[in-house]
Formats: sequence, structure tokens, C-alpha cells
Amino acid sequence: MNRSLLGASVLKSDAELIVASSTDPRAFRELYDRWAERLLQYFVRRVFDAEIAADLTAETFAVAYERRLRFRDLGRPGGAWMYGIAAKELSHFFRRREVELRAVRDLGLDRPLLDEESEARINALVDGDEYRTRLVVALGRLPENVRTAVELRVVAELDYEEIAARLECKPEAARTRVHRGLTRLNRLMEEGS
Amino acid sequence: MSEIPFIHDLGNALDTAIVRRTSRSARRSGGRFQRGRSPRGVALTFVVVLLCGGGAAAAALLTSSQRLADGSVTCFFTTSGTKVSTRSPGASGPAVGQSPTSYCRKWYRLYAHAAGIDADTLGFVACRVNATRVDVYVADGRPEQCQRLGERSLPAAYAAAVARLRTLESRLDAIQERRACKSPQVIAAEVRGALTDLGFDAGRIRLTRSHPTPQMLNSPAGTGGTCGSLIFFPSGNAPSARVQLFPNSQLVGLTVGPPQKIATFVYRASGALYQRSYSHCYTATSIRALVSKAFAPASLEPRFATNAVPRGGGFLPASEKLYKEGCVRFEAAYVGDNSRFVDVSLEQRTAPSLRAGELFPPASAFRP
Repeated sequence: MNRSLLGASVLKSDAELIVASSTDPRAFRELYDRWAERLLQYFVRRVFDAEIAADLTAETFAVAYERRLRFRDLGRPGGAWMYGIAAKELSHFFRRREVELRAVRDLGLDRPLLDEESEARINALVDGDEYRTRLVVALGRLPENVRTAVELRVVAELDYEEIAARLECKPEAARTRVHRGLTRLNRLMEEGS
Repeated sequence: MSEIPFIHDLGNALDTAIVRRTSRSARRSGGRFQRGRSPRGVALTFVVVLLCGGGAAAAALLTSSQRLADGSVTCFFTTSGTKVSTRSPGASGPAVGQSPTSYCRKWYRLYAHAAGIDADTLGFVACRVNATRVDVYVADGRPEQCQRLGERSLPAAYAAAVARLRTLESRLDAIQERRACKSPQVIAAEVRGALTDLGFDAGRIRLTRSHPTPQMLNSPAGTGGTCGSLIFFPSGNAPSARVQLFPNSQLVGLTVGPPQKIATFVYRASGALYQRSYSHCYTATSIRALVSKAFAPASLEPRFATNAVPRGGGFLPASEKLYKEGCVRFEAAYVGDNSRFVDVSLEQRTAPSLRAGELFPPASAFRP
């Protein structure tokens, strides 16, 4: 979209843009322009898949648009609100193993094709081996039973009953371990950023 | 501004969706008619062809081994499920027509590097978890590794099923990549032939018109030709060739439209024209020149029809201003007449409106 067409002020804070977007679609585009690449990077660094990261980004902005009227500017950074939505979408993806594209569908958003150049550039956002190494290190810092639960849930896609059977614990305990592990892993990765 | 083209495209798609949503809201509140707008100014002609199982007596579309080969593969990094090293969720996914170990090797390489392991020296073993899932582990060199992990070895027919699916994919790719002009019915017959040749039960063919929207499919524009190819639309409306197998419902889904390369080209060119003409003022002459230039690389000759926007149409304010000033803008493009022409719908305030109930200009309205 042409900047001159949008004409949104670059001086507005993220929170101001979210508030303004309730009546002015240009403000939402401005918000998108500020955050799209950052969120794409946030996702691809966690899922290592450009297509999934692209879907998650599209869904995050569709959800943000849907919820913009509920946003209240209480002095907190608008970026935290965006990351909050992104984290929820990511969490859903890890739980269900699929990107929930409900808001994308509701909005009628046609997610564009991911061309080869985009895919290469998105993958480049992962920072190559350095980030992956950090991930492996972070995983190594999780308690073994927690790490195993995370791996069985995220990688092996087992449901909690199966995880519980393998770990010889109750499904509720398996769920708690997975949740705790993902939270801790996220924190470790953020600390390492 | 980001250097990633996708980010730019997604932003534009978001703008378009928001404008559509805004105009729908306005229409609801004002009770006025407004036609549905095609996504980012692009409309192609589609027919969804379903190759259906011929009832209860028909054999299954896929055998159990083929269903497994058509299912998902999860790649473990070590020798057992409880000792997997974490990898990306992308390490699990559909591996249609691929050897599971080949599919997993790239993930091993990715993660093994970080762990200081040479993945190329490792052996792998693939195990059956359930009817549609295969797990791949690093081989521990001892017999019955799958059984020790609580899983089963792959069925004897699995390798043949993988090869059969791979052959089917190649056959279908060849059908959809061929540039020759064929009707959707001919293409469907070729797909059925390929399925039958390879021992799949293709059932009978039923044509439906349900994608992406009935309005688009009912468009009289761009339908003068008989060319078609198989096009699948993923989460966005960007076209890509694909045939989908639905073993549970015994269906093979084919979306028929222009050849993929042309469809993709028109999709992209239309998006650019849409955005360009919404932010710059064009005359009837200059926009024709712009459109002709845009479609020239695909050897598509444009034919034009110009109409006024129906009452209640909602657009970005700056675009609305240009329209009210008399500027002409691009609305949509439809590939037609065997991919020789592209029917281009333009919008101008002083042009005649579409008749009541018309969503698109009639085919006769398009002129070179």
C-alpha cells in the first residue's frame, strides 16, 4: 500500500494506533507495517517453518483487528498487546499442531502466496545455526521429565493420555509438565535473545 | 519497509479485507445493495471436480498402506520416543510419496548440526504408529526396534504404496502442467485415467461449482474458453497446482482453472494493478495501457468492460476521492478463451452501472 495514500502519522505510539484503528483503517495498516516483520521473526524462530510462521502472522493480525475495539490504552506498550496475541496463537499451534485460521476466515483475509524469495528471507530471520544452538542449549536446561513431556507433546504429537502412559504419570501431571516446559523454554529463549 | 515481499502482500491483503469488512458493515447499517468484491481484484474461473467413490460397493480409494503413505511422518532424533531431542514442529508433516527416512533426513541435518552430530552417518528406522502416522527413529542396531518402542514395523506393502503415490503425483503434475487446452471434463477424465491405470478407484465424476464463491463461478466473464488445469487454493487465494485425496470420504478434489503459471501470474499482476489504480489517478486510456503492459509477459490480450461502482461500495478514503474525481480503476481480471485473453473489469463513476442482480459484467461487455 502506498504510504502517501495511508498518510498515517509515524509519530503515534503503538497504543495510539490501535485505538485509532477502531475508526481509521489506515492506522491499522501503520501498526501492521511496524510489527509484521518482528512478529514474523518471532514466529519463525519458534516454529522453524516459513509457511506456518506466515499463517501465524496473518492470524495474529486478523485477531488484532478483531479485538482492536476492546483495547484500552492504559499506558502499557501496544507492542505487549501484539505479542500477547502472538503468544496465544503460538501456544494454540503447539497444543493443536495446526494454525487456527478462524480470524483470517472471519475477516475474509486472503493470505498471499509465499513466494520463493519471501520464504528464503523469512528463513534467514532465524539467524541460522546460532539460534538453533541456543534452542538446544535451552532445552538442555529443562528438567529431564519436563523436557521429555515437551518433546512428546510438541514433537511426537502425542495426546496427554499417551504422554502420561509413557511417563507413567497422570494425564493432568503430563499436561502440567508440558505447560511448565513450554513456558520455561520460552523464557529461556527470550533471555538468550 | 520490509524487504520481504510476503509482508507487503499480506499488508495489502489485510487492507483489502478490512475495506470489504467495512463496506459490508456499511451495507448492513444502510440496508443498501453492494456486490461482493473479488479478493484483491482477482477472479479466475473455477470448477471443483470431485471424483467420487461409486457408493458402498466401490473399493476404497486408498489401501491401508497407501493411507499410511499418504499420512504424516514424525522424525525423532534419537533411538527412542522418550529420548527425542527437540526439533521444530516442522519435523512432523505430510510426506506423501516420500520415503519417511528421506523426509526426515533434512531435519536430522538441521538439528544434528547444532548437537555436533553428523546426521549423514546415522541409520534410521521407520515405524507405524497408527493408520496414518509413521515415526522415524535413529536405528539402534538391534532387532525389533519398533516393537520395543510399542509401535509396529511398516507393512510390507508400504514401499510399494509410497512409490505408487509418487507415481500418481507425477502423473497428476504432468496433467496439470501441460499447457495444451483442455476442458475441465477432459482433465477430470485424464485424472480418472491416471488413477485407474495405477490401480486406484476413481469412482464416478461429479462437477460442482462451489469454490471459491458461487458468485465468482457464475461470472459470465472469462468463461469463453475451455482450457482448464488443476489448481488448488491453500489458505490464501494464491493458486498452486494440487490434487487432494480425501480417503475418509472417498474423494479426489480437483479445482479447475487456468494453467497454474498463468493463474499465478494473473493473481500477482492483478494485485499490483489493484493497488496501483487505487492510489494513482488513471484515465480510460492510461489504465488500459497500464493493464496491457502488465499482462503482456503472459501473452494475455486484455478485453475491457467498464462500470460504475454500485451504491454503497466502500473503499479507502483516498481511493474514493480519486474515483469521485473521475479516475478509472482496476477491479478484476478473469482468464478466458483458452488463456488467450484476460477479461478486465474497470470502474469509473460516469460509466453505466451493472443491472440489478448482476455481480459481474456480461461476457459480451468485454472488448479489446
